[in-house]
Amino acid sequence: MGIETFIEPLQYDFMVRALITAILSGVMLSVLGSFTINKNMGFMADAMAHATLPIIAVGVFFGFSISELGAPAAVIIALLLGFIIKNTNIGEDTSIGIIFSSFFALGFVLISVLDVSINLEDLLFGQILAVSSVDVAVIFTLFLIVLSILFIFFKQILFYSFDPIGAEVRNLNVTFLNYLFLIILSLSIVGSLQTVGIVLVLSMLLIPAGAAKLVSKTFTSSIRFSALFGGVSSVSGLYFSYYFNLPSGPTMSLVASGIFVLSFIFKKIKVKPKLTSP
Amino acid sequence: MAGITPLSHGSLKIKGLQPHDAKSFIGYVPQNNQINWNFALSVKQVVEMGLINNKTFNPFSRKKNNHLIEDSLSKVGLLNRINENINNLSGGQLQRVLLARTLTQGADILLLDEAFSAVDIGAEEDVMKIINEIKQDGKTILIATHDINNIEEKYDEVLCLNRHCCAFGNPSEVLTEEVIEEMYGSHNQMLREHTPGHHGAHNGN
Repeated sequence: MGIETFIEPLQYDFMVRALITAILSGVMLSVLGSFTINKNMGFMADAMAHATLPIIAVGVFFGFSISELGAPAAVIIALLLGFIIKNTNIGEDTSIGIIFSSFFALGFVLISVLDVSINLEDLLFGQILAVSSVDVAVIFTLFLIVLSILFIFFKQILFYSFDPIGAEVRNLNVTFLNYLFLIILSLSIVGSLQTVGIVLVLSMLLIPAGAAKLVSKTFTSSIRFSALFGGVSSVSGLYFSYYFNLPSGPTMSLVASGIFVLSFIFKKIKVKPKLTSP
Repeated sequence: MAGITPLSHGSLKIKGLQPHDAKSFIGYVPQNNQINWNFALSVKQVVEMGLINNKTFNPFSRKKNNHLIEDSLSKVGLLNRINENINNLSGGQLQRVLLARTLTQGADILLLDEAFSAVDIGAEEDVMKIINEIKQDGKTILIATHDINNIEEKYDEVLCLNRHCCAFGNPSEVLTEEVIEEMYGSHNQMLREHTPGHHGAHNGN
């Protein structure tokens, strides 16, 4: 296996676009994933992905493409979820579950009623090989926006996530920080639907971050590992799918799962001597 | 007092200001279970939070704050653990880290919420010793607690609350059996004796 193994697929423009998209969404999702897993927001993230369906259905009906709809859909969903959780007292999980399933159902009904031509399989599992130059530009913009916001507000978001009441007493604008995080999370999820799809976006968000948490000692280093794992699984998943003719989104997810298993084994081996020593 | 729960009635002023406007004077040590321990932060990162405000945008503005963080940590005796992961610390050490955070903040009034609920007696004594040292620096320290053991030795003044003020003053004087019963007794009993303008046994007047 030489360098040509890596270069050969890149003679096709669609593979170059796919590779750029894969790296951008892989890194963006896994960086936010580190916050998501520590804040126990996996279910919330899943709901965000599924809740896009009706917005996509209506948008496609009016002639927009999925990537054009991403950002506005993400903001609407983040605000809606944040508002409902804050203003109902039926429990966060229940509120999320209600929105999640209702929106998903509404999406399917709308697709049928409006008779829009959406390939559901592409939407659920992603179709990275079909990304256009506009899609690449959109995801690149989202990548810059999401990571800049996270960089600028890193310390405030971290303080709020670690000690919400302490942050409020310290006079941080916690409502703003809460919605800000929901919005960037939603942006990264909805922006990546083209890559891995509604169902598998969660794997790129949570699995690299989970693996990174296993192998790193501190939160800050877990973010770096997570970005690395996310990038590596996206890129190698894409190459595997090219050479073995596998569906790209699921292959990326499986590579991430493989990295998680390796991290788990690494952790077990590393911890063992400590347990046996007196 | 922390300015996060609106007053149901009455008024509260801190240094002549409404609680919401006086937040900068308040250093808050939260209850252990209100913190998300999933985040494997370093001691330094936690203490540095005392310096974070709404204008903290640059993640690299660290250098000039280092001495403040180190000063605070040496006051609570944890300077040698500055780069330690908080997950490796004991309950008492965590309380000291959170105390150091309020020192970095430079707050005049420290508010400790159930500070000793998750620490053993030895660690509690260490924390009390540090609190007494902080007191010498002219800071006001308020501790919410359910533990009334040795209360006379620990605190200068106590305010006994059970939905209303049962007593206020020097602990060795106001902590009568009657007050303790009122504080820990059932609400039914307490409300029977409670009428507007009369708050039970010793209302501190």
